[in-house]
Amino acid sequence: MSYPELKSLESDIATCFRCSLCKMVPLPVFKKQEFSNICPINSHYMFHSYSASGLGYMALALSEGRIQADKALADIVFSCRTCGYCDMACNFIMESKRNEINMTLRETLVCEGLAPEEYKRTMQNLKDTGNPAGLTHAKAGDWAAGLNLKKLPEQKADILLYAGCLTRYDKNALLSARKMAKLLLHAGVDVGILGDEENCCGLPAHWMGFKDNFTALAERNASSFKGAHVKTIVTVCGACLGTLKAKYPKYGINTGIEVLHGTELLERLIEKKKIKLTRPLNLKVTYHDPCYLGRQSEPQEEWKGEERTVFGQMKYTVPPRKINYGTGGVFDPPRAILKSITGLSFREMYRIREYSHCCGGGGGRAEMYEKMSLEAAKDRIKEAREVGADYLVTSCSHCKAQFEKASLDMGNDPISVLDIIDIVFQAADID
Amino acid sequence: MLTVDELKELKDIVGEEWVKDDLPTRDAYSIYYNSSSLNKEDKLWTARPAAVIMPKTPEEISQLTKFCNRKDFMLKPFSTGWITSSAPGSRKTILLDLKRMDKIIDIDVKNQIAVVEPYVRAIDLQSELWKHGLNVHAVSCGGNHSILASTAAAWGYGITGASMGYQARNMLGVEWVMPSGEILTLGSPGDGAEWFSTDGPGPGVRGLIRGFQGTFGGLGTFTKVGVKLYRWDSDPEYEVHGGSPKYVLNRELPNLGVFILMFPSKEQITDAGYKLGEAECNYSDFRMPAFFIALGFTDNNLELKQLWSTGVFQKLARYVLTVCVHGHSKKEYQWKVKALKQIVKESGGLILPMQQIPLAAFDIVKPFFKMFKNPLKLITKIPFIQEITDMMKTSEEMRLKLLTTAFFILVRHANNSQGGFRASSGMFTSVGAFDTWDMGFEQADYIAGVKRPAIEKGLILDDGGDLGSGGTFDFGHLGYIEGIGEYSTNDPESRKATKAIVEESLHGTIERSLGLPIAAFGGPMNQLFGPHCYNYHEMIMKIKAKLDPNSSYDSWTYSGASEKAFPDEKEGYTFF
Ligand SMILES: Cc1cc2nc3c(=O)[nH]c(=O)nc-3n(C[C@H](O)[C@H](O)[C@H](O)COP(=O)(O)OP(=O)(O)OC[C@H]3O[C@@H](n4cnc5c(N)ncnc54)[C@H](O)[C@@H]3O)c2cc1C
Ligand code: SF4
Ligand code: SF4
Repeated sequence: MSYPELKSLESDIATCFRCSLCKMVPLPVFKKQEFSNICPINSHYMFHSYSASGLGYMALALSEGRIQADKALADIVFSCRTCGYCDMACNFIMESKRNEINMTLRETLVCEGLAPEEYKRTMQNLKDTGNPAGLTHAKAGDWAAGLNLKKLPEQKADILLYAGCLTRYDKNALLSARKMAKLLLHAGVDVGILGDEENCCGLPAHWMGFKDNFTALAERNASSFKGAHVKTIVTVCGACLGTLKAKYPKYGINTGIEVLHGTELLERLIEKKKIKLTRPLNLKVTYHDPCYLGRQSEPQEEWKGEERTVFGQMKYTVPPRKINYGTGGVFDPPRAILKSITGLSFREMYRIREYSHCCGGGGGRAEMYEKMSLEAAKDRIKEAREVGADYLVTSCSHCKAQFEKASLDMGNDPISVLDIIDIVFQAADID
Repeated sequence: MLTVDELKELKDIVGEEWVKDDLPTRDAYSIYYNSSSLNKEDKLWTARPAAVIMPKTPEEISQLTKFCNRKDFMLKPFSTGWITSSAPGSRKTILLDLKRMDKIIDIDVKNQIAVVEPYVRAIDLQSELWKHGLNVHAVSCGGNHSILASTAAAWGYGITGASMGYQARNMLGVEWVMPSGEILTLGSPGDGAEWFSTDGPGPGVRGLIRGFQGTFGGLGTFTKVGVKLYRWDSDPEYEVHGGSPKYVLNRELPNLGVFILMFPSKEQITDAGYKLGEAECNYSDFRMPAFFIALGFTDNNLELKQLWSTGVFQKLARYVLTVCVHGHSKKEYQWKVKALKQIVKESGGLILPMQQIPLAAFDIVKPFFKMFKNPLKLITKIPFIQEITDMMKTSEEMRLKLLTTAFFILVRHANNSQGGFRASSGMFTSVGAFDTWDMGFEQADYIAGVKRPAIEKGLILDDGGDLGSGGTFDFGHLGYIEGIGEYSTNDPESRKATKAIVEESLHGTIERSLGLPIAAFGGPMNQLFGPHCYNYHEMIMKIKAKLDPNSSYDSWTYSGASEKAFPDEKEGYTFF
């Protein structure tokens, strides 16, 4: 069996020299052993196979025909949370393609029919209902009932507020989305929604390796975004932001519309005093950078140029190909917002920004790998506690749901998990 | 192949989830750093291990060892598994991945001793130690290596060796699962005392279990080691700004300074090295070859190409020693800096201003450097040149940038990998032996000559030839410079050329009496070097036969291919 996509990555796999830096925080910012490991699958399963390096070597073994595409391989490959840390970590050393190798390996296994049954059911749900959980108790636009938001494309607006499917259907998250809409209306922003026409951004399909379904969904969404004739799309959920801003272009889908996360717009509105954070909040908080709002939202620039060799064996590119270090994600706006609230005490955790620790909830059907994925979230909660926070604030519905679940499971040491929108709403003191 | 019953036996020892014998996992453990050097077909693959096991306690390892004494299998333990000597030498090898054993057992602040398990990385320990005003010697591959491995099992030469010695010297008590399966605690802790010594009571076996290079997993498993610590009288932590790949220190650390010293000749750099050691003002030092310096100044290979092509570095930076000065008090620090400046002056060197120099500046000075063979020789003759140089300032951020790069190399071991792999994806090493500081430069010159034909044919990277990297040890009593080269992992011709260079240089080392190189370990290499070095290879084989008569440990990296190995696994190799 030959796998051309993997074959084309063989030379990139071969550059891995097993340093294991993709399992830990970058050495220059290392602070503490207890909070130094990052790859959630490696921290839990421990074996090297559960790491970007191990996944690469197994991809090479598959490509060279040393091993078969089988369940043993699939069990390992699909456990990866696609948090993207390994890619950023390896790029710290050299120009690498760890993300691409991971994703190509899982897409290959999906093509071989090896995706778990749960994944296939999720894909069917997406097709049938427009959301991965297959929920039908409410329509896509119900979350905004009574808010009097403009309905696009029938009405016109500058900004499309994109709730995302987890946000729409989760009873807590949809309250945050409603608060976001109220904040925007309060600030006089010309905002509308797609209502019942809003679809899933497609991230679950991408996570699970269903490349064709993902691109099909992305294309459909791109066409409805374009049809809405807005200047900007603002996502409520961090995961949607990374998908629209980085993954669509990566798979060749460009809307030409600016994509922002809610925190980016809120920061601007606060700066312009359109939203005033007047109410002091005496909270000790820390902030969790979601993978897809953070490092994974850094767009991969399309590079057109030439690869040349000099000094015998040194490759270079003209113009230089931009390497993704993950630093171009949305990191500062949430921090700026939190720090601007009177009375609020903000503490940083050890694994932040481009080297943030994944909540364990991404990668598709986290519940299939429940022990591992909850362990990742619990580890993060411990870290929040360690820096003295009473509140773990985030800005992604997936992360929030995951932390809430983990916190409940922790029993004697739960932590309050908040969406940053809830805090802004409270500090802005509006109804 | 392990039988179902054998697998069950192993799982009963460590628990079901910690034994893996599926093919994908075994293949994930069949590639290591430069492992193509071991593969006859020039592939990356080593032998595929029979299984991979993750034990948690010495008792479990003891039982696994007893299993291999009875069965036709062998164990190969490793801590991080970074370096190729962790690879299985046979399809009958069961790998022991010790990642679950990651505890810092004790930090005895008063007596300056730490006791650690195998998967305590240098940076784990160093970060804790700084809080207690202590530090540990770490080897030059970076803070992600295992402290136990570098102390008890393999090599141990690092940048802080100037003041802390090489790591075998810092080994104190050891807990050892012997090849028989018996758990033995060596040295003072074996007698119920603290971990302050590897020897006694009774005859010392330090030489036997550690020796010069190490046993590389071929003679049992070390499960705890006591490590001698050194003082750290600077901040317990530091903060940075910026992001990957360039994090920058927010400010300088107290009682700590980094200096880039440039010398016009080999004689001058070596003299300065000895004097710095004599004055004990080098906490750490690193002879930084010109190509690596140029690399450190740039963010991508296009910039590197432009910078290296100016030819400035080849002339200006041939003999550069980067030095970290650390004082136990402000006064001591000031005295050491003064001494360093005096030594550089006396040796006819120049201290580079701690400023990241804009790349465009090199283009401007290029014509001047073209005119002279050794422009630094002329520059250092200019009256008050050091004073003039000291006045050169750009911005605080530019100063912090260069200072950070040097700090991360010399003290924190945090950016070492960035240097080795960006340019051409692969790095190899050849000659380089602990000897005098002068000898290090002889080795570097020699290997530069061996590399030359391959450089000219474009088979390896043209780094100017001399990529000798290393420093002084024991305050100048010893020196170590490794003959490094850069090749392409993806070009078969480049790999072949690398193999040939290493082979030639190993033989050349013997002919020229250049000392016992880093590659001198394992069967074929011991056979090559042993006869020139008191027949140490025979002693190793005797020790192995006596202590491990049933070949319970895979010894390809120690005494040679194991008895139990398949015939095709007993052939030679060239390690790079
Ligand atoms: C890029 C690079 C640069 C390097 N530069 C240097 C250098 O400058 N100086 C230097 O000294 N070394 C260097 N090394 C070699 C080596 O990595 C180090 O010596 C290091 O200290 C070993 O740590 P590790 O984490 O790599 O160990 P591992 O890879 O885990 O093990 C190294 C060896 O020790 C054995 N071992 C490990 N743990 C145990 C144990 N618990 N019991 C018994 N045996 C064990 C293994 O079998 C293996 O043979 C370099 C390696 C690389 C990859
Ligand atoms: S994937 Fe990159 S960071 Fe991870 S082990 Fe390989 S080289 Fe190191
Ligand atoms: S994407 Fe995340 S979970 Fe997957 S291998 Fe990389 S670091 Fe680990």
